[in-house]
Amino acid sequence: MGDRSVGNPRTAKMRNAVLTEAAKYVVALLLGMTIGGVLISFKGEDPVFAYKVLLEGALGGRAAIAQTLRWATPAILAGLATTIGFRAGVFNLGVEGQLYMGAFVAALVGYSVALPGRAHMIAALGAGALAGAAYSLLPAVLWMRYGINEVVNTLMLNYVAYLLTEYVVRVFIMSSSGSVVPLQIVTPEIAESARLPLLFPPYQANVGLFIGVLLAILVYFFFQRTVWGYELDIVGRNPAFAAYGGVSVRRLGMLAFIASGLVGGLAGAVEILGVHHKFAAQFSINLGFDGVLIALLAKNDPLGIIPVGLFWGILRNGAYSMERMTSVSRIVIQVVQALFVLFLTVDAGVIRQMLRRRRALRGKPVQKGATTTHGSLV
Amino acid sequence: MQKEIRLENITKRFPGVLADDHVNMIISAGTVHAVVGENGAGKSTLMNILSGLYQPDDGRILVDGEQVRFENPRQAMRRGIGMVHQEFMLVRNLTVLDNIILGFEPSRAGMISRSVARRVLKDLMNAYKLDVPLDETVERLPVSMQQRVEIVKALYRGADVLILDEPTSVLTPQESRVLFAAIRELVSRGKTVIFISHKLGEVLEVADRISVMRDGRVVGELPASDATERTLARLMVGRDVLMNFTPPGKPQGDPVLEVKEMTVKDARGLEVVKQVSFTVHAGEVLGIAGVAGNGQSELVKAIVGLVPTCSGSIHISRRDVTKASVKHRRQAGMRYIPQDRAWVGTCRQSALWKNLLMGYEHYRKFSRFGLLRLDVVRRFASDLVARFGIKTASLYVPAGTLSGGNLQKAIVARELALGPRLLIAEDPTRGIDIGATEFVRRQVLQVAEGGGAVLLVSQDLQEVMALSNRILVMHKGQIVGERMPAETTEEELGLLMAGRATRGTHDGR
Repeated sequence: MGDRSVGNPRTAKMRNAVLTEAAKYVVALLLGMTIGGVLISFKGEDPVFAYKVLLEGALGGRAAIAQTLRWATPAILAGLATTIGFRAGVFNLGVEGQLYMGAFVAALVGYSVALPGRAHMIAALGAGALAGAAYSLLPAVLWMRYGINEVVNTLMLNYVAYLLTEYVVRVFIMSSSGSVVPLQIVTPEIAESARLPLLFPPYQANVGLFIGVLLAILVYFFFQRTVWGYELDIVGRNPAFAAYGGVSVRRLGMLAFIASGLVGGLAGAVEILGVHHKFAAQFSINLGFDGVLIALLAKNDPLGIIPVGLFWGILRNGAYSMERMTSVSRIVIQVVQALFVLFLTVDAGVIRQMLRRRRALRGKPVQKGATTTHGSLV
Repeated sequence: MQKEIRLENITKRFPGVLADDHVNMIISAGTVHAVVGENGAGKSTLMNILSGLYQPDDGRILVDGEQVRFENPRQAMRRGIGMVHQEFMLVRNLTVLDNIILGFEPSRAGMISRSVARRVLKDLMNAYKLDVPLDETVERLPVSMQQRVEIVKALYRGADVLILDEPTSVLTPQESRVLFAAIRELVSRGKTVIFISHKLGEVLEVADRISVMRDGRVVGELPASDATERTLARLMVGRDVLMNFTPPGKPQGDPVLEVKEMTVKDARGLEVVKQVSFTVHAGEVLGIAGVAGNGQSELVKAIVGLVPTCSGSIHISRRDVTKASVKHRRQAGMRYIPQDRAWVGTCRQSALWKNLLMGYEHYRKFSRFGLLRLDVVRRFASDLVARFGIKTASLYVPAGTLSGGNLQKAIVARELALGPRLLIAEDPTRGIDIGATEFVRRQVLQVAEGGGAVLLVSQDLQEVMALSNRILVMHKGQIVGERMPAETTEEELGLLMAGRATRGTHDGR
């Protein structure tokens, strides 16, 4: 192509781009909600009413907002964990498992260790994060050293994590703590000192939210300002170019993988220390998996994770309230969420980019001229 | 079957770019019509419109006076217009026959009838004197034969007008001769050939008429007999162009790159570089010529550190870097202009400034305590853009938005930014326009003049001859000859490249 660009003023162009982008989100959401609405009306309910209940349940009043923030917290952390991997070209789909490991170890430290004041809380958070990191080490090493596909590995290890934590709790912890006829497979409650402070007692929203937001900002600056962030970004977009420039692709990819696991573990620790106060088997309802959708919606922008996470909190909290008030199952909202992401990413080029990256890793040539990114769903 | 093609006021816009701007062209039946122009001049867009890949925003196409509109290449093919792309569209592990009939299989009772196809093809090959081995699998054929398969394929599908997109870029001089003969044969039998190229010498040799494009417009159309390389170059670029270079004087410098008995294996474990030894001195340009796929690419990758060596050693400025990482080799003063600029040399989705920084991000100048000094980096990047005349909307646009020539300029700018001690340039001007080619070649020579060592690996023989102090020829992973450019000819090098020894000796090392 030539480079005689049309002489539009730049600002107008940028405003246009922003508007198009915003329109894509709106259209994708509306499409998702429309299909969700159809599902709701199948149940014999009025979709408009159902959505109204959802919104009120999420934002109508102090209690509702607090609960929305409570759900936004793991969404932000899990989304961030996934994003860190995605940005570096690491498809860590094991955030769920890392979250379990983090949750379990945080609970362990929370109830079995005695430390003064905030130190206990920090130790439990740290231990949870490290557990997540350690759990991501296995697929990371397999990937980097032996080229074993991390997508399959991390997915499978999620099951290992659910079942292993359940097993350990039931066999080693519950039997030794003398609990009889367990109704639920849980660890003992963590000590007061290990709990995260609540934002609006007695509601469950806690300082974990600030941890998430702060971390998102940190990650943003990491990618914007640091040498490693710069290199990781290139590794994620074009590993062949990074290797050409002298970047140690394997080492950095490994680092991103572990960092992703670390944040995943932290997400689990925050859930336990902030909300549940004990580890229960299979407690997470797809918190980790939601991270993938959130990362996709935020287009792997760490700052974008914050609003998307909040939005996720609204949907999740609202869905619970919708379920209480109507006969509609909250699964409908999960469908809406999934459709939203689907419609948005149809055009986002994210998939295309992933494929290209894959091809580059395998050293296959890429089609020339396949770079125009227009054509949209709007 | 004679087809006259008229393109009238063809206009095609891409977002932000006017690729073709009211282009008019008449392609007479039974002639070779060359379309030349710099990259981005709009010639491939035009041809893609003619072959049905794109649809014009405005204007019309007339075939024998009748207006046509092609929604896809199949429709164009139905009107007898076929294109042989630069990248061949062949299935490597199918036979030639199957490749040719793929999608156009003659069938009998719902079954593919290969015997019918074979008979048709035999006649066709006889008529045009274009023999291809029908039962060989494509991957076993040399590139020149694959190209011929593409041509036969187009003829089989009924092409009366053949569009050849940069057909000689993959051929040796001898193979190009053979292709030109084939083109003349086709034309003598009434076919029309549209020949896209940026090599002016061969355009003059093969074409009857030449259209020159610049900035989306036809800026000149003339019979080949009235044209010279100089006039064509001036039309294409819009100013006089320096085409001849003199390599720097006799090198007397210290050895900068020493490769000793290096062997490299490819992914399948085959030795693709065998016991290769050579030295590049400061102030010298050492050219390596060879047909693509004879080990040059692996040789370069091994020197750069992107693939491991199997045996032998590599020294840069007397430091053993045989096992060193790319980063360490870069620190030793090595820079690399890779053949694949779109995929190895740049990150298309990343901002231009990020592309210009690559390899330097650890330099104290650009980062402290792991934090990028963005102001310094941006000053550095905008300085490079100005110094090397890179045309870009800003430093922040993705590198992929730059045209091929500008992208290559950006790579050259980055690699030469801080005065390399050793430059490895791999096909540095492949597929870029004359203006950018002139620029890149001059920059490469300046490295040598400034006391750096240059290893130039190129499939463009003219380029190797024009820039090198010494030329090594590679064939099947070995160096089969060393020549001084003044004492050799393209023909002789071509024979060496084809694996035939000259002067009665096999003078490899």
